[in-house]
Amino acid sequence: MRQRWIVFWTLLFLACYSYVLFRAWDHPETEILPLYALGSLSRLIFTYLICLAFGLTVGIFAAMNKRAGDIIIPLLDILQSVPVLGFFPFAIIIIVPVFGFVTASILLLFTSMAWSVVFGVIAGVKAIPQHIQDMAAIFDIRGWAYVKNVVLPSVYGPLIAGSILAFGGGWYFLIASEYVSYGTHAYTLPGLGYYLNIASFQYADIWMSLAGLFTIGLVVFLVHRLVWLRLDKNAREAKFLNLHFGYDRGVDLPKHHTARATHPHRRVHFNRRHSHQWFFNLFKFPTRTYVTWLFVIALIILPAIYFTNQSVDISIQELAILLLRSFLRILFAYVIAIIIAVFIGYLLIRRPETRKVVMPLADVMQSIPALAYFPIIYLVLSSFLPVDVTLEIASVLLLLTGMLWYLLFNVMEAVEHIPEDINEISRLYRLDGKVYVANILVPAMFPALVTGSILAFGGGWNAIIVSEYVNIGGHVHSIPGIGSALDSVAGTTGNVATLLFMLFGMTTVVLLLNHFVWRKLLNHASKYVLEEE
Amino acid sequence: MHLLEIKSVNKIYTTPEGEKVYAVKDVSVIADAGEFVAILGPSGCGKSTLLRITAGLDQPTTGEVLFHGQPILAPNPRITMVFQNFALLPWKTVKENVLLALRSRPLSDLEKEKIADNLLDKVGLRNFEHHYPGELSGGMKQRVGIARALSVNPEVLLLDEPFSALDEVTALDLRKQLLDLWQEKKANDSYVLITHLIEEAVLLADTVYIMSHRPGEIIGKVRINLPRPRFQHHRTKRFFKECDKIQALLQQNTNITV
Repeated sequence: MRQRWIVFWTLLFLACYSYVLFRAWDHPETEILPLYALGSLSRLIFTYLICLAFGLTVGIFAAMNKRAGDIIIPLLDILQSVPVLGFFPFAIIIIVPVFGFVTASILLLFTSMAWSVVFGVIAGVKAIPQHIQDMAAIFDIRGWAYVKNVVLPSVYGPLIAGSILAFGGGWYFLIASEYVSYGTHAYTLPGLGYYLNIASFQYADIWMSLAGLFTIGLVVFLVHRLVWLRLDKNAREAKFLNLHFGYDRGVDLPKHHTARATHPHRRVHFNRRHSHQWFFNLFKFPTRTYVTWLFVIALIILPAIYFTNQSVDISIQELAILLLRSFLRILFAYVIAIIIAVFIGYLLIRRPETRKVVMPLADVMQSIPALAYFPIIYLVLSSFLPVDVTLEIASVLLLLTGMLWYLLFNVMEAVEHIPEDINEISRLYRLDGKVYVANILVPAMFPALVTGSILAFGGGWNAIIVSEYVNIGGHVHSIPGIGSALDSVAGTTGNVATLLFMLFGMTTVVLLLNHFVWRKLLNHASKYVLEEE
Repeated sequence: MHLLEIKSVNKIYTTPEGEKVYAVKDVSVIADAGEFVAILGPSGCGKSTLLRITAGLDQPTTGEVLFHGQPILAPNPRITMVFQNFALLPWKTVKENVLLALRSRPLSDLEKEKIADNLLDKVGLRNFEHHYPGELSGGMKQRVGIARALSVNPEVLLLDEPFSALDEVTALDLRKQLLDLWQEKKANDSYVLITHLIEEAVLLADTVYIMSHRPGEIIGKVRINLPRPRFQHHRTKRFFKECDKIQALLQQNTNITV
């Protein structure tokens, strides 16, 4: 039965795909679409390998050396919460003239992928329980022997999970990094992102756009299925999971030992008992450390502005208004996203059979990077709406598609892991309707919603950079916001001082929100984590 | 000179509020060669901390632990440990787990294999040497733990509530096996057991030190004079008389044992 559906969907996909390709064949770029796919993929793999080397060395060092970790982990957290795309215009102006566009794009890709990998490694090392560390000390398993026999195997699972996230993030930025146009100049790299962008903004051809979208979806899906899901399944084997389960559980290991836990980016598969816990503990460093790092960053950026010998041609008030506008746009998309996520969470609990529809759909949809939709949404909407309205709607839709998955996957995970005894209690005491929603459903989802929200907002700040500004054949359309401001400065005056100043403003707002809103909620949420015992 | 001597050990922690808390207070324990010592106390009385200090995994705030008259400052190859949670590496097979413990011993690979085979044989796991811990029951896992600890041929074996994660039937079986292994060696090895079970302490030990809760200090010492092999005297009147003696000591301290 299931197999028949797979065959059906595959055939349907192939039919649509061939038709779309056929319609897009007029453009010479379509012929070399496989080469574009290869170009994107190889750049992604290359960057990933760098991330892997970085993640393993820095992660293991930071996690094993407490003093180093106290300094490195807060810095990594700051770096990962900075909207990377915001640095794109900056990189174009500073790095491209010296090292060329390929280096600039790989560097930015690295900054989008590295954190999930390194946090995965840190989580893996930190999850090594005390008794295993004691055992290693007792039997004199030290140095490389300890790394090889204890650390690397414990890191394996979280590393794979982090790598899946890294690839997800990587695809997203790849799209943005292959076609950057400011003013009259366009920087391009041969790849799927390039194809997609010229399809929408140069040829304005819907078939070509669809061909690009289908190809991206297919490549992402295949890589995910053939590589990551296999490695992930391997990492979930009993022998990699029960490090913490020393107690007598006999041969019959619990089936759902694992959870896709929360993570700085999307979702991570983890040992349930420690999953939320490590997330909460990892980011519980003192405000002092955090503020110190902010100072250090300010000390680097502010003199840098001074040394550019350029004047900042934007006032603080103007910057604040731009940030507020962008923030409201993100907030609006976020509210819609959270309503959808909670509603689906409710459906999943009340009607578990909806899971069969929601899960595969969400899995396929989330594998297409949200940025890939943007040109198409723009193209479709602009055919019958004024440009400003189009851009406003397209930007919210882009934000929404970027945010929804973070919330949705976290909620689904939470729903799945409400312990059976809690459901039994609610049946025993006849808690249903409103009482159930208020006393069980929402508190049970709360940690997942908070962590999902943190990730969603992180994604939102990133997406805002590219969603407020389009450049069609040298003709710029934009809606006011921090994203369009960054892009237009890069495209017109190229004033580095102004760029740095705006980036500093945006980064500060993001970090302050993180520290004063999300972290507070996260601390609160840690009390709501359901223990599975 | 005693084989192992814990000499007025204190372990003091400072809480975030700056308050000083005694995890272990002025504890002295002696284990002679060939002696089986038990340290008995309620949960959270600091007995595991004491054992970690004895193993050289942690340092006392004041006081010292002497092994052959020398203070222990780091883990010593002649002192080893059986863990409450087994502490087996799930990605290594039973035999690989044992061999890993022998890693830094000056032996040839063949000798190491022989030792591992021999001990796994003794604990009845000969046919499971290529299994992963995840495929074993809790009792079998702890047998691996015991085989691993004995493989390094220790003079002092520290047992940290080794059977508390097991069901009572399995635990009883393993206690008997442990006694047999200890008896069989007839060497001058001493075993130090941490437990919260009175009957377990009486069944296994020659001397039982009783610890109180907060601060963790020794409130009494009982010599168990039951003849060996003990198992024949298990659950006799004499056995329970010893248990009652310890029970009474603990009772006197109920006001602090909570």
